[in-house]
Amino acid sequence: MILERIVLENFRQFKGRQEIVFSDIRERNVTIVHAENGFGKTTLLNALLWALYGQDGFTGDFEKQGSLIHEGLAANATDPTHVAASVELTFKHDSDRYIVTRELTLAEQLNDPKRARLSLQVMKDGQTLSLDNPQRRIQAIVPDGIAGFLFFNGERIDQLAMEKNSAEVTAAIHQMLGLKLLKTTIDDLQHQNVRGKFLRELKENTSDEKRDLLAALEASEERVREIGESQNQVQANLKAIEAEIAGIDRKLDANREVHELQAKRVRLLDEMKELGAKREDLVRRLSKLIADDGYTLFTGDLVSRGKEIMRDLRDRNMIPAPVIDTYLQELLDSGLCICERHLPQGSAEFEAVKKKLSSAPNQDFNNAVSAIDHAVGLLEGVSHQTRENLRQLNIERLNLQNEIRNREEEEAEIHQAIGGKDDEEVQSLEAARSRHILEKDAQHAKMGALGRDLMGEKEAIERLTTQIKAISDQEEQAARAQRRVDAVEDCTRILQEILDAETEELRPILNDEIDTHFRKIIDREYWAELSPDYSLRIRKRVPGREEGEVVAEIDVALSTGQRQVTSLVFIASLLSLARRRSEIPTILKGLSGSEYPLVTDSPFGQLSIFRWGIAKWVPDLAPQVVLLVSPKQFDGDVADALRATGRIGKQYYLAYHGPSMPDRAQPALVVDGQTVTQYFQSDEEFTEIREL
Amino acid sequence: MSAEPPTPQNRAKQIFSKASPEHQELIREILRAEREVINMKRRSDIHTRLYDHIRRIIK
Repeated sequence: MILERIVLENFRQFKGRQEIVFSDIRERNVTIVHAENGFGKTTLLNALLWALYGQDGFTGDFEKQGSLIHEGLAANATDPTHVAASVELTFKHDSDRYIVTRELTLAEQLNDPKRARLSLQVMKDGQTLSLDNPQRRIQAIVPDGIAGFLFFNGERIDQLAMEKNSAEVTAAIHQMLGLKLLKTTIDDLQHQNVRGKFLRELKENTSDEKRDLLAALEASEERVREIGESQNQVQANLKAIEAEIAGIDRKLDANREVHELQAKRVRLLDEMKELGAKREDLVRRLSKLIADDGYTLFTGDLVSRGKEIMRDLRDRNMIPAPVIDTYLQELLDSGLCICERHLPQGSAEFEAVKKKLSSAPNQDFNNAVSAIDHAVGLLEGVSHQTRENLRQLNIERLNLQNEIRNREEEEAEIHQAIGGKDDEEVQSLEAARSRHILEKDAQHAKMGALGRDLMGEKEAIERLTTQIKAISDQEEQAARAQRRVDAVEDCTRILQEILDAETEELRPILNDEIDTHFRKIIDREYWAELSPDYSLRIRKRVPGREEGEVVAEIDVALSTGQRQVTSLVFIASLLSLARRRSEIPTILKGLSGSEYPLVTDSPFGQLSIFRWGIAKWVPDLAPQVVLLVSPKQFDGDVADALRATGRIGKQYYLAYHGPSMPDRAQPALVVDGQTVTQYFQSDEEFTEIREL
Repeated sequence: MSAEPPTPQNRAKQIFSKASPEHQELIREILRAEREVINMKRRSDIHTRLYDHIRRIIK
């Protein structure tokens, strides 16, 4: 999908007909829309989403979603069936041109704004065809599951690079790289109307004993569903709480009286995160040490006793064996004893030496003695080293614990200092912050309890499934129902294994892609990786005491800007891989490369020092980039990087007309030395799209 | 560097080829049906089709 044009008509503040023609030139694949905050960037992004997905597509920060028609026109309308808002989006996909149009009259908006009319035309071989089921067709081209990774608010994308979002990361990989088919099939097979139906048939036809087990299985599965829903709810609560805390933190940061304290708190929290990551890593190393060598700590008595026995045998000259069998055999063969006496066969001396031969140890005995000697020494050495390593790691752990505790205490003092200010707004913000932190901890505890319940239920399901399978049915109908249930289970398992294998094999390819681009942007000794559980992580090496020694590799506690970079690089890498999907082996036939655009609202807000790198490299990865930016975000690094790479294909700006100018906006916009007026005083409020 | 890991094609194919012929046929049929409706939100029709496929193949 490559965007070609968007036409807005009376959509929110975009009064009349307004259009943007996107740059579709591969070498100049960036289209920029300059707009001050409050002029309509978010509305523009949402107009595009509305055209594709209707009301379901809107971003969370798009307010008054039921009111889409220009307010002035709606207020003065005499006939609500003749006033309408519409968005027309033209795009290319697989060499065909599509035009999607969504329109909503005022009458429809008043009745049910979700009832907007949608049409989809395709231009194929010089002909224009109107397509049936337009929403289904659009979904086939750009499933709404990937919309969040293509059209998004850049300031919120940092959330993706957080450990708890590994499910979203996995979903993005599946969606963009064509593995969704396997995942959806698994879900459909497990549905109540497929597996559930076969289970019900089995229940109706089987023995009482099996029926009871099936009822228990059904109950357990219901509980798993309930727990899953509760976990989703807790996850949503946590997201909302974190957003609230972030909002409070921003307000505290903007308050002159507590700005410094708040900045210190942010620094302390970042440090605590990093120390926490170090501690986790240390605990992992401790666990590994105990699992690998911990047994040696309990071998002290064994080693002492072994050494004692060896010493005793050595004292008694029994080990190593002074005379071994081969030597005695040589004497017998040569017919000459060690004492120079002859040993004729059959003589008493010959028989005496022969007798000794039968009980004499061989060379293997001496080898074994030396191996035991070596093993006992080794065990003693490893035991000593393990004890020493444990002691060291424990000291490090305690030190880290202390460092974390010190920062916790400092943070608690900051809380007291901010809470103790006379400013009522500050007091109430701090009180709200504490409330949210308490609630966050409570939600985490709830999540832990739900996790334990889930594990218990899953164990029960496994047990019950085995018990059910073990009871063979006598009746043919029941036996057949059981075979069908088994087939569903087996196919689900096979498909899951295939999905896991394909996803796992994509991970290193994606990792290479992400890391290559991440290193270009982040100029530190960090590297990006997609962990085995599919969370995006940034890692670094912790140096040891000696030069060149690396004692550990740990997660870096990321700032919002670094998380944003990680998320953007991940998405751009996915887009890059999606484009060359057909080159990556897969069992699924017909997976072709797909091009998708990247449309982002305010992507540079939190990026600070990484703006240049993102502006330089992301257009290299994504086939098409549309940036909705404020002058403050664009000027400087972003403008320099885009100009240096020659990536800018088209530029527009939003001109705002209204009774007063939004806060912090400037009346004029300067781009490439060209000055244009972007604010016009007017009684009526509306926005125009103008090309630069 | 250790030896090259098997490609996904190989790994996924290995898993698939280990399945019984009956399961292989079922999986092929199911995926063919799913492919047509992959992005549809309404799933009731595909559920009926999957149910019928399984009934037809597993006697």
